[in-house]
Amino acid sequence: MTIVDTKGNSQARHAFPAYRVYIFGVDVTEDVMNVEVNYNTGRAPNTCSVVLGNELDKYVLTTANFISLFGESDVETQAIQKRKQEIMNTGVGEIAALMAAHQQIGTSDVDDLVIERAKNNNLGELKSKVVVAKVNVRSPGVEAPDIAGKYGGENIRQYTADAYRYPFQAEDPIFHANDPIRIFMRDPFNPRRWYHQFSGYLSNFDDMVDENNQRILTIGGEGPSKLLRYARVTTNPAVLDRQAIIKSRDLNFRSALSEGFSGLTLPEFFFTVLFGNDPDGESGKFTLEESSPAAKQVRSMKIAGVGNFRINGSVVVEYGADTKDPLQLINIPSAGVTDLAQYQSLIDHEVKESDLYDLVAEDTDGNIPVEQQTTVEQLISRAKLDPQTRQIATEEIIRIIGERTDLYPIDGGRLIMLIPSSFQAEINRETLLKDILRSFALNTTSFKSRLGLMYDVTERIEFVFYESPKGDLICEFPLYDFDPDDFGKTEVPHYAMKRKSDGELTPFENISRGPFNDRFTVAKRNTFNFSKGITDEKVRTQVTSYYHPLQGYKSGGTSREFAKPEEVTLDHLIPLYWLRLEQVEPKAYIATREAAKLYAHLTLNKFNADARSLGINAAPNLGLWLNRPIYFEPRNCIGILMGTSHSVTWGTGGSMDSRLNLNYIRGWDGLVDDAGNAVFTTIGGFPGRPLNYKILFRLRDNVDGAAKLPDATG
Amino acid sequence: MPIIDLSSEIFNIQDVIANSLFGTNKTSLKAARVPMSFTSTRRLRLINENFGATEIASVFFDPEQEDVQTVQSELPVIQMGVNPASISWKQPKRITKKDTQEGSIFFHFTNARGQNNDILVLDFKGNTGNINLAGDTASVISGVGALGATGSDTGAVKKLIAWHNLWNLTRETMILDDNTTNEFMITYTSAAIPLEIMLIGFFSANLEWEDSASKPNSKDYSFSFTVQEIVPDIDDLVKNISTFTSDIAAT
Repeated sequence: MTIVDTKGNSQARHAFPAYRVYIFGVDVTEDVMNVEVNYNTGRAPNTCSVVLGNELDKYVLTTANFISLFGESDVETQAIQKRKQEIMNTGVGEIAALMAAHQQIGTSDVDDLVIERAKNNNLGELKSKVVVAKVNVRSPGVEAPDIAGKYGGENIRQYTADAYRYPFQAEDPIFHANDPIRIFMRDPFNPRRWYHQFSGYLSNFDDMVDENNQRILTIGGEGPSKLLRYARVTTNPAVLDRQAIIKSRDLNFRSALSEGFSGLTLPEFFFTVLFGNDPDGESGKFTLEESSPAAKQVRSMKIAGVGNFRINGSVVVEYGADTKDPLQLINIPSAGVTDLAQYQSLIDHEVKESDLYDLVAEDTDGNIPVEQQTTVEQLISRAKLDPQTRQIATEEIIRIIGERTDLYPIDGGRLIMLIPSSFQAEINRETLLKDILRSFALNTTSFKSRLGLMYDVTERIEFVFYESPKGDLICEFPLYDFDPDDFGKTEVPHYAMKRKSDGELTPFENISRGPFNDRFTVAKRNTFNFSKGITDEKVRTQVTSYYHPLQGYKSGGTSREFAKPEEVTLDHLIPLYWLRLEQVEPKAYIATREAAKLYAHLTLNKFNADARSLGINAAPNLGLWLNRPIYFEPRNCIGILMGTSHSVTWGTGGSMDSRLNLNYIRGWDGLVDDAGNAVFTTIGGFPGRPLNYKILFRLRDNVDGAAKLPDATG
Repeated sequence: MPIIDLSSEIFNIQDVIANSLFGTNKTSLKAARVPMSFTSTRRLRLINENFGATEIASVFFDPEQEDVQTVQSELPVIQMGVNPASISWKQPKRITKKDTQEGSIFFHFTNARGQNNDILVLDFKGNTGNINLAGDTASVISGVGALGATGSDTGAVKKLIAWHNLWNLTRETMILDDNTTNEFMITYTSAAIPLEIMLIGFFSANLEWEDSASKPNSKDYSFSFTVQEIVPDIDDLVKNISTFTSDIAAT
């Protein structure tokens, strides 16, 4: 007799966890004891933690290894000295060219020797592979100051001019900071389905050896937006040639008289910050053209892009009812979607064959080289096939993406933006995307990271900015008024913006994704435990914002004297929660009454979002996605996923789970729509959150507050 | 991946052991007793250091040879004078049960073949047999005993030496001088597994024994062995045994 739950499903289910972990393109899965990935919508990149069994210092270049690699015999020492002499006799300015030449023609004699030893000296297959790949990569060293006079300077140069790109030191791990990490996990309930779960850079180590000689190496990683954290407005931390990024015109941008990015719309800002701005149109991936009349100064700036993010595939997705006054997106790839399932398929992280084409790297000018695609096709033709489908096996797709860091770089993700096509006339989109954003960065661009700027911007308009598990950067309007079913109940084709000039999303042939609504549901049978809280202290019933008809007085220190207030009050909640006033003022200047009103709405929503929170520890659900409405069956409510993590501990006594943090909780107060579906609302019903995106998009036409309450007689 | 290259000339222990078990005719089942053999990577390297390849067989299987006794205070390969009396095979499943609010989930941690098998552990229990040196004529040859001028060959010396070697083996280093793992090997055959197999792994418990007055001339002992690899693969065993038995039927 099968024991079933209330829905007729078997109460006993099987789950088959599996994962693949690649560090520096090397599969380390067999040594992984625990792996955890964390995503969040806050001001921080995604993170991962990988715990590796480090038996016999498998992941450490020991002193013995070091000696065996670099040797001590006379012949070898002479070879090394010869190499240093060669550098010593070369002008410092020519060293870079020399280094480049060495890399182009292969390796020097010394490098050959070391590589040969790395292959043969019993390092172990994995250690040897990593050392061989890294040991001969050199970069110009530091030009040392002549601190010891004529001879001292020359002597110093031989030690400082030739540097390793990956410096090894005895007893340190074989991996280095910013080595690429990719993690994939298998849906334990559907072993044919794998997901990208993390893509990022190595950030920290913990090499632990206990008193019983148990050796464990724990590796921490951060998502690709880590690059943006180190990128100021004028710099790209991924560029090794520092001379290439020092441009005279950049200096203007840092002037105290300049208002960085003033007047740009949200898409213009994000594309500029990520891909740079090339006013000459001669090189680079992006140019601000005439789309921004108020931003002449920005348009004239030459701003470097960050990393190697792909502009091919990047797109501004417009969703919702059309507007009579479309947002001008000149030179910014954009496309409309008719439903959120289509949009979700664009960014979905289930591993599919189309990923091999969709994620492939582009060159510095934003073009996808033909040879890249040829290489991909060759890899596919050589890959093992799935015996059932006769298509490339999913594990092979994972292997190719994991190993070929040249074709699939960590910072090769796309910028995907989801913005509303329209708002109602009273609170229109221009107000949201332009007026409130206006001059947000006033006097703050001089030494702020680009990542900080992005968070500042999105926080101000309550948008969210986060990384996807595949490594895309995503900016979306909040989806807290939507339901899981809005993301589709059936599979949809895999849509993609294949080239920036396409102008529309096109589907990959025979590749489908989804359905997504099930992924955004946590059923009772999948819930281990949960905790739902209500904190009265976090509720606000009134917010007042200010706008400044005359620009300039704010910076003069007389802001409030000339500012005019605009308030939003939740009258019906005052008897319950009392009048709780909050005054808000953005960092910069809001010029219009509408914008101030909207800003008050946005901040009120943010205040009240945290009043109810829900933490869930659930059976693994690898399809979860940030900023998505999650239906939680045990408490019959919907919340927005603000953070989630997936953890697997392998082996006997192991486990796998997903943890979810939700806020913007909506409950059910008896309201249903015309189709009989429950309508979930915030505290106080629809009036409790007057700014409702779903209504603004005219996607909730059939519900009109209390007028649609079900007939009590049925 | 085994550290020992079983295909190499020096470490071709399988053939060497198999020949001793069954002679050159491997299909023979008439051996009265098939002694279990224990060794390690370290001990096999001792053979290489001290003996030529052609001498390996005699070193293995004639521990009374004088040169062996003098050169090797420890046996390169330990053949049991009395096989362990009881060997239990235990291989639990890698399953974790987690209860949800409506049912249970069984997490199966599977290998590349989809099997959720945990590591195989063998628990050995045995008795040394008679290790009373008194009266053993072998003691004269070995010089170990003092009373053996007359009497019969009881095998006590061989059994005692073998047992002490086994005890030492269970306590042997796990890491060799070149920083590689010292792997331990056991050749095994029984009525249940009539084809010799080799268990490769490590001792998960040192040999435990009891000096009991109730058994003055023999000692009970036990130890555990964790198996990392079986040659041939345990999943192919049924196929090999089928071939083996059909070969016997044909002779």
